[in-house]
Amino acid sequence: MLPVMALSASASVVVFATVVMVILGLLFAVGLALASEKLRVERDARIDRILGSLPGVNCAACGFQGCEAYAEAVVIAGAVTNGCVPGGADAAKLVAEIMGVEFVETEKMRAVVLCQGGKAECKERFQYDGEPDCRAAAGIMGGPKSCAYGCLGFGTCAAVCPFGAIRMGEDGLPDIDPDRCTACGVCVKTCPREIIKLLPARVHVWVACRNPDKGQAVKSICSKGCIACRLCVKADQKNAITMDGNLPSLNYDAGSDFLAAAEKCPQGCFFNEDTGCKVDEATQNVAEGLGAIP
Amino acid sequence: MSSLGNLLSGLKSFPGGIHPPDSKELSKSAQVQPFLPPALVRVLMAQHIGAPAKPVVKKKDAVKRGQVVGEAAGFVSACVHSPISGIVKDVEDFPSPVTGRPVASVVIESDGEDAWAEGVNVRQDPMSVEPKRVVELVQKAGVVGMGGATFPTHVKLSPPPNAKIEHVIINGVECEPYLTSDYRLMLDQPDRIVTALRLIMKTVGAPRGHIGVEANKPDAFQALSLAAKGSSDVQVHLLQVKYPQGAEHMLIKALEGREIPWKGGLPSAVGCLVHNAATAIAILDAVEFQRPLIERLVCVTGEGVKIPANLSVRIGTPISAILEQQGLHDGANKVLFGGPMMGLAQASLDTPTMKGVNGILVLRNAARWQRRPCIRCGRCVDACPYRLIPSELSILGEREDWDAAAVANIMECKECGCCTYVCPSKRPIVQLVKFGKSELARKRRAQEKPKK
Repeated sequence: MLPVMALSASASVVVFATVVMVILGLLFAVGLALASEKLRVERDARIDRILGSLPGVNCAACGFQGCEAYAEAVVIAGAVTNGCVPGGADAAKLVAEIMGVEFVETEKMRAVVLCQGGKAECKERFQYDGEPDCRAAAGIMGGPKSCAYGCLGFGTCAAVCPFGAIRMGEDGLPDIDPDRCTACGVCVKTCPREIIKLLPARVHVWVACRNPDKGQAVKSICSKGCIACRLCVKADQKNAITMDGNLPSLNYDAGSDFLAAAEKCPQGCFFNEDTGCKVDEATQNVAEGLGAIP
Repeated sequence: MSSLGNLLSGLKSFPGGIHPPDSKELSKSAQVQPFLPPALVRVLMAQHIGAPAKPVVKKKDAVKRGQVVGEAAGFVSACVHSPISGIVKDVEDFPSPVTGRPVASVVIESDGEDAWAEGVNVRQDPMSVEPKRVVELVQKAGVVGMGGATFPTHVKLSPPPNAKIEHVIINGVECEPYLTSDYRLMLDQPDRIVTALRLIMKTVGAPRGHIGVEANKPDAFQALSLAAKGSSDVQVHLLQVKYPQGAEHMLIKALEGREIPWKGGLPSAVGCLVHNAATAIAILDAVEFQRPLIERLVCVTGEGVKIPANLSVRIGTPISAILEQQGLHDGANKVLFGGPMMGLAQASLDTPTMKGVNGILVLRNAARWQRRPCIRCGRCVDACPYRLIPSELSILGEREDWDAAAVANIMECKECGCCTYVCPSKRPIVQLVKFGKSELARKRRAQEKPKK
């Protein structure tokens, strides 16, 4: 007799509790529904539509705090409709459509690394035992790399990239996947050495050295640094290369492909994206029947 | 002295702090020896906090010992003098031993004569010099804080007019393990330290003077007490042995029970002025002999050095010259300017000594710790003398949430390293804090830029 009684008692407790919870739930639901009607804040529906057409990574490349702030700025403050960098033309088209303005195309950009001084090319001055972060390392005696302008190789850019487009190579230099890179510029802002730069996607050849020191000083610390020999300036047929101090400056609007200049460079400072390596190595690949990497 | 012994001693101290092994036995009995002027010195233009000095000599100029080679660039700056006589070999950039960024430096080749420049090294009675003239002479001599902070001393000797300085404190604590240069100075020149204290008191108009010495230097305490015997204005205090008692915040707390306010408060806010013992002697040298700061005591010590010593070294002497004379043991792998707690590891032995370098510490088999997650034991919270929560700062640091770290008062940290010393998880707390402070500074600069 006793066990049955206990069972029925516990069953009634369960039923009672369920009923109470259901009633409470209903009361709260009605309360919330009423409150949401009563306390509703009017919001332009376009903001949410724009937000839906943005990538939603909050990279702040547009200059606003995040995607929502940008969407609000477009609708309320009249910010430009093609401001979203990672979204590119697709997002700009959608935003322009929502806002009912004409779509203006922006040039596609992507990040490139302006240093080829990896572990083998540029030696370390001392052993660094601190935080494995480029920004922290740069603050300790100017960083362990011999070159005060080169890549420190701790991969902070790879860690901060919101799109997973950067990977640290075996040589201690970052590799940026141009297809994944959206030119949001987070890595550009993070790199303490300022060796990541946004370049138009149509550019395939650039000078991958930022050391402004004299040739002899550069040559003593890095086998792939620019020594300011000016051979590239002479080699370029369209006069698109000028010297800015001890570094060449390339004019990408002059119509030159810079291949001749790249071939002449004795240090191999010119980086050719189509081959992923020094230009003469690429020609060698072609000669060996391996073909250039597309 | 153990921490229990400290408690029972009834000596003054401050809350928090740590008791690392002081390791001073290596060099404490070594009498001060002059280090012969090297054939080549490199005088850096940024040996102080504030604007770097501007070089005023050219290549091939002849300079005399004590001649100005770098002119102060502003009020919060200090002039730099030639430590030897000779020919300027070059004026070139050199990586700063503090930041690693290139700073201007003057390389001087010795002519072996070591001749003084005119107008320096002339004796006068220091106590008869007018306060205004004292500040001028100190400024001319390029004296900076020699305990390591290298703040220009003439700025500290000219407190703002609304600040009333009551207590002048001479810091003879030397709480960094290993270092013994201030200790030897207090043993050798106790009378001059007391005279320097009276001179500083007269200059800033303070009625009371104090000298703080830790209990692990009883002979220095005795020597100073003897020098100050029978005077009512100067008091010598024996303090508990605790790190970081030599930080001015802690010393004022220990001696006067006063706390310097946060958000950039200065000792003058609580009526105090603190000078290191070596700085006091430099001030007296500047006034009594019109001698610029071109030479200082450097303690060369550590398990990696064969002959630990306390040397009187010309500023600008390369580390390599000193270590060559003192000899290195096998396995010596880290060289620091200063002590093991706050010292700066050096990247090159070509680096010259500076005004703020009180020690060259050579460690043997220095290893790197394996970091583990925070276990919330709170030892760092107990140890932090500035009453911060270092564990929280380190966790925020790992997340790079520097805005939250700023709210948690990361900027109040003086980087003494007590938290990192006591952490059982071997977390690089003070390193993360330093990183955070530099990131916040970078962010602030980036925000200020567009406005200009």
